[in-house]
Amino acid sequence: MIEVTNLCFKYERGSKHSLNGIDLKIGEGEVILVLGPSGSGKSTLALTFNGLIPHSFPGEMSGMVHVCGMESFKTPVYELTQKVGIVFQDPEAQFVSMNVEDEIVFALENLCYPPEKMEERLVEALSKVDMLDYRYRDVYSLSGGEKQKILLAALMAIRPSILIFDEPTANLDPMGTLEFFETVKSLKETDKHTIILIEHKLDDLIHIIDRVVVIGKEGTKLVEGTPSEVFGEHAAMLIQEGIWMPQTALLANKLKENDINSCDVPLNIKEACEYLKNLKLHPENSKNGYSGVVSNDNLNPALEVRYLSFSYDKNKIIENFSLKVAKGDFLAIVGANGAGKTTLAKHLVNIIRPSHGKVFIEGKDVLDIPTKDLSHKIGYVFQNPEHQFIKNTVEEQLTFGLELNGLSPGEIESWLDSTLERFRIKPYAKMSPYMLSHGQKRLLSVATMLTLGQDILILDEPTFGQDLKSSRELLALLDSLNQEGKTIIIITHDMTLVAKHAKNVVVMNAGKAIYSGSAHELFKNEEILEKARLTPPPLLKLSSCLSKYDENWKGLSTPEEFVNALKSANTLNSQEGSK
Amino acid sequence: MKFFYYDESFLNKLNPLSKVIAPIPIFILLCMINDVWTPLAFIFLTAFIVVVLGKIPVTKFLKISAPILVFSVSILILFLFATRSELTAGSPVLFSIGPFNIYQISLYAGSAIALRIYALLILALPFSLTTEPSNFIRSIIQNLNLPYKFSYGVMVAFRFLPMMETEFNVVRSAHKVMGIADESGVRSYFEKTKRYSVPLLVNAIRIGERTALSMDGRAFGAFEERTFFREIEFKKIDWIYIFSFWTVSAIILITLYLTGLMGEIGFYFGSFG
Repeated sequence: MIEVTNLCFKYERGSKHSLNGIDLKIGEGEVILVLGPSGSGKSTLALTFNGLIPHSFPGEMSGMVHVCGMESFKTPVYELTQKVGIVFQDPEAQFVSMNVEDEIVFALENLCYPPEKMEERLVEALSKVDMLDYRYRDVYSLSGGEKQKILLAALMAIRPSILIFDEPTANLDPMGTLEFFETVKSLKETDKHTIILIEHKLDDLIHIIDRVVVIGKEGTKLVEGTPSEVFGEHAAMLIQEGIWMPQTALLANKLKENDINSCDVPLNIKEACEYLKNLKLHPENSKNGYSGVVSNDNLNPALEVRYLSFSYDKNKIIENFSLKVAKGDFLAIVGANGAGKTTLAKHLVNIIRPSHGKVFIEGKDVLDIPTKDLSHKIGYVFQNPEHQFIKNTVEEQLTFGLELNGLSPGEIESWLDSTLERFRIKPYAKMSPYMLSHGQKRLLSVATMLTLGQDILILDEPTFGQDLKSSRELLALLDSLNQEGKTIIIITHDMTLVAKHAKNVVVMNAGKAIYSGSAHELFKNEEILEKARLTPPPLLKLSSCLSKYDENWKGLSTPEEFVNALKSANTLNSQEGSK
Repeated sequence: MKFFYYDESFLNKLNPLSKVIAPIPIFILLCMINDVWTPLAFIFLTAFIVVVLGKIPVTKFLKISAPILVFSVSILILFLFATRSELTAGSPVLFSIGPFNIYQISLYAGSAIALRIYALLILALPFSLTTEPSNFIRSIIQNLNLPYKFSYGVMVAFRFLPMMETEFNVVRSAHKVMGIADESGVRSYFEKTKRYSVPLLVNAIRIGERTALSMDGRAFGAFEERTFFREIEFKKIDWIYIFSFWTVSAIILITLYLTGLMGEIGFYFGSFG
């Protein structure tokens, strides 16, 4: 279907090659997963398949791409796009029309289909993604997951034989992601589509993948092979390159490092469960590896919300919500899209005035704190870091807060130096913040907040769209800030992150807190997880699967917890054995 | 953001272009007629069309036309105090407020201008309240033979507006939490413009690029022509609407002229007297 030989591509203004000597063969009906750190040219590769590269992007291309026997260089884009359809990551930006029907027929109209035939294809495409009821809906009324499904249907209308998904779930909440994956799976089952996936939420998808291709930072192909080959034999390299792996594979790798059970690499919960069920755990030790619950009954909370309610257009977004956040807490606010998380966070920094109730920061009503003072007490890192870039260079961006604080030039100089060093962005100091990579932009936005010297930091979806490496760097930073005594509040969908870093969790559902307590306890409470439409971290699913065999497996949710539990059990076992 | 109402009313079924074409002659005529009765008659005619043919609820109609009314009334008040002196000469004083004399002619001229503005603005409502923007663009492409590549650009731009509005609000709050308050003054005005426009532009370009990719990926611009799923034709009811509108308008105008209610015709009020 697709044959790529020695493909190189450099964007017109790019400093280096985005793709560097790629060779790849994809057969009919295969499902290929393309992995790589951000900026590694995965998307560029996808664009060469439907001819947008080289036809729409200026740049230097060498090597060959054959798609269904056509050479991409010599074939017009519209011929190639009929064979290869791509769903991109931002659903909002991909829509051309304002309603579903128009969107689906858009490609058919461009290709001059007669109206009768369009009707037929319209119905066919919508039923393939199981969205026939949505035919007369407005685009605005759709959720993120529904939007991506409609965009997929819009491609299916021209019956492409190859479908490419370029991080289609990057902007979706866990439920939307799951919903979209189900559709992708059903495509694999019912049709003979060749599917190319660029994705890093791997756990729910791994079992449909035939082959994994890993592309490195330099745009070269690092490894290619079946999932178990790639995640088994090359795990160390993937981790080093900062590439996401299935959690079970990470666990297997961790276990191997600790010399526990060197089995094959399990790629799904069921396999992992089979491998681990015979291992014994010591009852006491399974609860180790978890510590530092901060009591919420603190008398002087850093932040307090009292009976907060907020309505918008007669819809109750937040209803009678109360919360106390202790100093030094690492709190995660979780819940489905539309549960009121961001609205709550906006109340905390006085972007929104509450309809009822009050928010106190260090005992003072936020409404009584002037904007300037408030910004020194509590920081808010927005989802898109660019929204908070207000200066021309990285350096100015970092220092303007200090100048506001009245620090001396000498102090600023030394602080700047150490900060640039700490975030490894020294070479970019004189450059525009917009020139940084996605991960660096995020770090810079956190750093900017720190210059204002706040004790409380709120982050909205801090790990959105980042590769493993930059998201680890960011979380390590947050952990160290937390240890320095700062209160961290994150809004997130990422349950693995919650399991690993959060001390306390508030679960929101329809504007109310339905759970408030430790992350560890939350993951044992299946009722709450279900009610808030949270998808538990994959390893937690594993632990609940294992708990059928041994109660002590229950509630383990990170590789570290598993390793700790098994390690102490092993030492105990061997001690007992030697007696 | 929604201007149009999805009701299967008579106006919804019309070709958007006929809703544009019908009022154009009246638009021009209204600009030249200086009495009170003509605009008033067309205000009632338009209200009738919107409420009966467009099935727009009366309350909705009043709500939408309220700001236009406020605007017109403020013009009237302005006129009461500031009419040209050659006009007021010889006109009886109606009443006085402090040092200001309010002349009869001022009231008359003010009402005429205010009603004219009200009528002109309200004439666009049958179109704007019952037309889906994308249908309008489709009808331009299909009936006026405009190149579709250009017109689709306009349509996508229209889709962008609400996105940019959301973006703007986010950027504003993002800056606010950093302790940067929006101060007034000329200098901070420029500073503010720059601070807002850079992130907005960067994002607009990014979104635009993605939209372009998505369109090209679905064979946009493959051929010079394209077909349309929904053909928007100029049907019989469109001609009927246009001609009935013109006929009724003509009757109104002739009646007013014959009964002598229509004043002198000219672009400026006061070309007489």
